This record gives sequence, C-alpha cells and structure tokens, in this order.
Amino acid sequence: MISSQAARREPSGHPALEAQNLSVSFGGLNALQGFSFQLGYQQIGGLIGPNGAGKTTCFNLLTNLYQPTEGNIKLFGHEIKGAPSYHLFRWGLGRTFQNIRLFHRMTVLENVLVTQPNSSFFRTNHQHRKEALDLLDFFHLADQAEKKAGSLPYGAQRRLEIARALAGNPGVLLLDEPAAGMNPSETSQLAEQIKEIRNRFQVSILLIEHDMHLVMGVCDYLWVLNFGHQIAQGTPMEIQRNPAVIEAYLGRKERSEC
Amino acid sequence: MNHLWRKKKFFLGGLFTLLLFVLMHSLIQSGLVSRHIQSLSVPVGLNMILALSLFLLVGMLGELSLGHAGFMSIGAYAGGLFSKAMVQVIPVWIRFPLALCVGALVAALLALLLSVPVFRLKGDYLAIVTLAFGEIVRSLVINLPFTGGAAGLKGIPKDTSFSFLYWIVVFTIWLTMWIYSSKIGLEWRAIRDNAIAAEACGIPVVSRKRTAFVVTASLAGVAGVLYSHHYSILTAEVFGFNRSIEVLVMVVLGGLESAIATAVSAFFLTIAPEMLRFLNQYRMLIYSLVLIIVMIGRNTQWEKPKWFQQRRENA
Amino acid sequence: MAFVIAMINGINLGSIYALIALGYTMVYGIAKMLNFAHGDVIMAGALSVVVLVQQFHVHPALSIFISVIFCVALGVLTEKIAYKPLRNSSSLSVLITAIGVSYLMQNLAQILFGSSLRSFPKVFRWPSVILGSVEFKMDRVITIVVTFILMFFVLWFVYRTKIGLAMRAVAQDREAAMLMGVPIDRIISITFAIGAALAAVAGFFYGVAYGFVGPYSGSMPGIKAFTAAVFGGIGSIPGAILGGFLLGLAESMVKTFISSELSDAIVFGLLIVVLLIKPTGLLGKEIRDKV
Repeated sequence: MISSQAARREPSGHPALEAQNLSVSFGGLNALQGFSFQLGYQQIGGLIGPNGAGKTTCFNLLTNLYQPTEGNIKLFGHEIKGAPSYHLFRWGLGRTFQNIRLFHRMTVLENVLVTQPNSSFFRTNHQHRKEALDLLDFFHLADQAEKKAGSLPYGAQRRLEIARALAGNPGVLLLDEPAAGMNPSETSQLAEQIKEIRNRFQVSILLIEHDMHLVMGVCDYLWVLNFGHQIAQGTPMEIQRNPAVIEAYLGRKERSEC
Repeated sequence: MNHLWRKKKFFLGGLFTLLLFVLMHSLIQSGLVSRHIQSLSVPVGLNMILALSLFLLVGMLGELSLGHAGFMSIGAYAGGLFSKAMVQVIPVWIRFPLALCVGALVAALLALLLSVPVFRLKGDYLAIVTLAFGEIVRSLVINLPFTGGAAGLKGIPKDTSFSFLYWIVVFTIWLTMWIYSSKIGLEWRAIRDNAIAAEACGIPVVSRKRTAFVVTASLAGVAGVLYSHHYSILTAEVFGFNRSIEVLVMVVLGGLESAIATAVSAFFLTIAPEMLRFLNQYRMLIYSLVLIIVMIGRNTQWEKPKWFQQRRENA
Repeated sequence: MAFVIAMINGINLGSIYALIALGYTMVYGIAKMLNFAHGDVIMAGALSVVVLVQQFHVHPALSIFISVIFCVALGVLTEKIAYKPLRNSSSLSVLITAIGVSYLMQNLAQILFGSSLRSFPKVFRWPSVILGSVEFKMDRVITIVVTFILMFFVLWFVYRTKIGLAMRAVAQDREAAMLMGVPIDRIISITFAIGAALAAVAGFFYGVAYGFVGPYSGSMPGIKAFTAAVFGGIGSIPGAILGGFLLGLAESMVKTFISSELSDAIVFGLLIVVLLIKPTGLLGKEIRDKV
C-alpha cells in the first residue's frame, strides 16, 4: 500500500488523514456518530469537546484499536480501515496515549530505538543510536537517555511518548492530551514544540486537548465533539465565536476561560 | 567511544570464558576435582540453559510458562531416539550435533504448532495452557509405543562431554545477551511493558510472541538432548511439573532483568540443595523457607533506619 | 451399565474438583492471585483426619470438624504471613511465593509423617444402595450430597449476604471498595478461610475415594482443580462448579471408555481446545482494556 517514505513528504493532493462518517457504538451507546474530518498536509488539527464526547474513541478507531461499525478512514488517500495497528504505524500513523503508555522498564533511549523503522532485526547500530539521541536532544531528554523511562518525571514522560512516535518517522501524528498534568510553563513550552515538530519533521498533527490556550494557540483547524456528534468545526477564531460550542462546551457564561 | 567499549567488553568476555574453560578442563583432567563436584557440572549447565531460555519468555516477553519441562522432554526424546537409531550409522562428531539440531527442531516445531492458536489467550490463560501441554507431553511419553514407557528409554549413547556442555552454555549466555539488546529483544521487552502501545508503535505483537515461544522451546529442546546424552536413560517423570517450576524459580530469583543474573541464579540454586545435603531431610524445608523469605524481602519497601535519615539531613 | 457407573464416578470426582476449584476461583477473584499452595491444603486436611483417627482415636465425624478448623487456620495464617506482604507486588512474585508455601507444606508433612502413603480410615461403613443392577456406594452418595449442600451454601453466602456483597465489591474493584469502607484485609481472610474449609472437606472425600494419602497427594488434584477453575472461567463461582463437574465427568468417561493411561492427556487436551474456542473459559467474562 503506502510504501515509500517520500510519498508522505510531498503534498499529493490527498489530505494527510481523512475520515468519513465514522461511527461506533458500545452496547447501544453511540460513542461516535457519523464523524467526518479532513486533516490537511502539515496541518495541526484539534479535536475538542467535553469529557466523554468521543475524542479518544475517535483516536482508537483511527488506529484500529476499536473497529468502527461504519465509515472509512484514509491515510494519504489510501483506505486503511481494518488494517492492524502495527501496520498503520509503519505506514506513517503515530500516536500517543491519554494515560501514558511508555515501555517503563526500558531505558529512554531504548524506547526510541524500538520504534525506528529502518533498524534491522539485528543489533541496533551506531547510526541508529545517533539518530535516536538527536531526536531525544530535540525533546531535551538526551542527558537522561540511559535512565528507565518509568523513572522520568511526568512532563518528560509525555515528551518521550511523542519522541517515541516520531522515531517511527510518521506522516501523521495523533496526540492524545499531550499537556495533561503539565504546569502552565511546561504547557506553553509544549505549544512551541508542537509547532516545531510540524516544521522539522514535516508531519500533520491531530491533537486532543482540554487546555484552551494551547488549542487556540497551536491549531489551524478545530472539530468540536459532544456526545459522539460533531457540533462545530472551523478555525479557532470561528470556534470561539460559535454559540453552539460556547453553550455545549465552554459553558454559558464562562467565555473568559478560553 | 561506546562502540569501542563494546568491542573491548566482547573481547574480554571471550578471553574470560576461554581461560575458565582451560582451568576447569585441566582441573577435571588432573583429577583434582572430586567425582561428586564433576557430576554436578551437568545439572548446573543444563539448568543454566533452561533458565536462560525461560528468561527469554518470562523476563523479556513477560509471558508465564508452566510447561517448560515439556519442551525439554520433547527435545530429550527426539534427540535420544535419533541417536539410538543412528548410533551405528553416523560417527559421533556429526551425530551429536545433528541430535542437538533434531531435538531443537522438534521442540520448536511443537512450540510453533501450539503458539498459532495460543497467543490469542492472555496472562494466566497462557500459563494454564503451557501447564496442560507439559502434562500432556508427560502422559503421552509414558504411553507411546516407541518411548520405552514408564520403564524409560535406555541405551542412548553418552555423547555429552564437559567441553561440549560448557561451550553450549557459553553460547546460550551470549545468545541471550545478544537478543536482549537486539531489535527483536527490544520489541519483546516493549510488549512486556505495554502490549497496546507496542502494537501502536509498529510491533506485530502476536507474531513476536510466537517467535519468542519458539526460540525458548528450541533452547529447552537442546537442554533436553544434552540431558538424555549424559544420563543415557530417560523417564517421563523427570520432566514433570516440578521441573518447570524449579526452572521458573531460578528465573524469577534471577531478577527478570539480565541474562547474567539469570545464569548466576541458576548456578546457585542448582548447587544450593547439594550444599545443604548435610541438612538431610530438612534440606527442602530450608529451601522453601528461604524462597518465601527472599520473595517477601525483595518486595517489601524497607524503611530507612532513623539514624540513617538523620545523618543524611545533617550532611 | 458401565455408563451409569462412570457417570456416578465422574460426579463423585467432579464434586471433589468443584470443591477445590471454588477455593482457587474465589481467591483468584478477590486476592487476584493463583494460590498454588491450595492443593496442599487438601493434603493437610486429609492427613490430619488420618492422624486424628489412627493415632488419637478420635471419632471420624469429629475428626472432620477438627481438620476443617485446622485447614482454616492454615489457610488464613499463610495468607497473613506469606501473601499479605506481597499484595501490591507483581503476580509473578506472588506465584513464586505460593509455590514456596506449597513446597513448605509438602516438606513439613513429609518430615512429620514420613513420605509413604498412609491408608485412609474406612469412615462410611453403611451398605451400598442397589437400584436395579446398579450399585450406589454410600460414600459416593454422601460425597455428592454434601458437596451440593456446601455449594449452595457458598452461592448463598456470596450472593445473598452482606459479606458476600463486600466480597464481590472487592473482586470488582479493590480500591473503590476500600474507599467505600469495605475492610479489605478481613474480606480476604474470610475468602481464604472459606477456600481452606472447602479444601479440607474435599481432602476428606479425596481420602475416602482413593483410600491413601501422602505428603504429595494434594498436588495432582490441585492442578486438576485449578484447570477446572480456568475451564469454567477463573474468578467465576458458578464457573468453578461447572468446570469441576465437567472435568470430573470427562476424566471418568475417558478412563472408562477410551484409555485410563491416556486420560490425563485427553482431559488436558480438551482443556486447551475449550480455551481456544472460548479464551476466557466457559463462564468467564471478557475484560476489555481501557485505552
């Protein structure tokens, strides 16, 4: 299917990631209902909505951890619905998790080495280690490369998870609440870093986030979910003015929060 | 820098194993080592191989097997039957390596067969299937027509020599360490730490688990062949549930993190019961008590003594 | 006729397995551990009856009660001493500790009573009941009846009493139960006590059925009952009962009609097949990982 790395790097006329009419229900509850979106080439998209709106469910459908009851998913124009998660990663769809899922008993460096696509079956060589260390350096983790991942502080673990996904050289990166548990200064650093990631690694990014400063400051385009339905979409400016969003999501009189 | 250090370490390790071999070999040749200690070298070597092979599965992949002895049994019988049939046909220096291959291959094949459906199961269910597998092997071996039944398979040529055993143990240690830091070892450990993240990070979890299972089984098969070609007689009871547990204890007490620690643990746990022989009937009692105390002690968060804390604060 | 006899033997054997499997499954459900020493509690129960009757000339009926009390004490003590310190450790550490406890019990029994098998006292001297051409041995009938009574008691206890409610709460979510004021330690102790009491009764009937008991007699029925618990879906109480009876019946049928030597292989093979078709056992629930 998607074979060459180059295909992901050049705009091909297709959106980086698109979903049509994505739906899933668990035991009668419609966790996601007819959600469609198109994430453009090197765009940063945001998926927002109150708790239980179906955001993480959407990520799990995109990475095939859950199977959608309906709908199509395309990565760079190729249909990927039903392909196993590990294939999706190799085809260029990397992700992080809401509740951090690092390989906690492995070292920071090993966490990155393990996802490198071109390292062979055999011992990881010098070149791979250098690439991995460069990547860790970008995330200010290089000096902790030999520590166990589980021993890192919370913020560093979140950054390592992004680094791990990027080591796979993805075309699209899904970030599930990357700023959760971070303090305000860490969060604003992260905002800068997300933009840098887009430019340096030439990836399209779709992120779920509750921190509105981060979302409004970073995203080019937003989709708003509530109870599994999309209630709005648009640029951050449009979303901030959208009365349906203000009512359903931000609360009636608390506009100042955004 | 790192690169050079690794080469140096490899060289030093090789030199050390060679010197150790020369030392042990000459000690045995000169008769300075008593017959009793000499005979201990075989169970020590076998247990090291078994523990290291199980370490791949339990320590690196994080899956529990309670039927490891089953694969050893298969290897022992396959290799033993092969050598018995070929004893007049092929000279020993080809026959024995071939027997090792046969034992490893047959064990690997059965592991592959078992692994195709089994990795749909998780956690304790895999443990129970391997347990059941071990019991099936034991029960079949007693009842099949060509295994000598309960009386045992006799007359296997005594091909396992000290040097052969030594170098296979060395090879197993090297292999385990190599796998640990190779890409596939990284992938196994990633699966152990978080299977869902591993899958989402491009690792085909089920297929990697199968590989680990097959490698583990084939090494156990090799240990089985070495066993059968040392003792020359095989009975199914040797490879029962207790044997699987014994090896598992070695692996767990080895700490589940390093190949060397696993080998050391296997070494000490094999000779410990021999050292405790003077305790007679209380031997296994002490062993089990020590096992419980070690497990509890290792998993307890000891509070630092008061004087220690105070001193730190003063400093 | 052979079929009816095999049926009765199977139900008899199944009763013993079910009683042991209940202990496994309850401990697994509530303490989340595989108690490998559970099989040796059976041995302790049976051996204590032998010693009481033969050496101290206690009346058999009384000896059962003493052995139940002894096993309950044994079960609760091992939990307090060996398993409680490991409550937050990896399941592998707990498993190895349980194996240590199992070795300890076996070796203690061997040192105290010797390694040879001892003959179990003939407890039931009543004549068999004969219906048509089928002979119902009295000990079989009693085993089955007592097992059914005990099983209904356990089901009533777990599903109809307040302690049972607390047990189910702990099984579902230990932390939440603790926050709601459920005394976790006491509930786990009660679970071990019930498991051990059932094991003592099972040990008694095992001795009656086989006639001999030794220090290692507990391990094989232990392993089989454990597989029965998995067979039925570990953690599920009705599953353990169902699994126990099915395993007993399967073993008895295979022994009678196919091969007594290969019965273990066939029964364990059956277990693998069932698990492959239904990976969580017959009545087990699938647990979904939250991502």
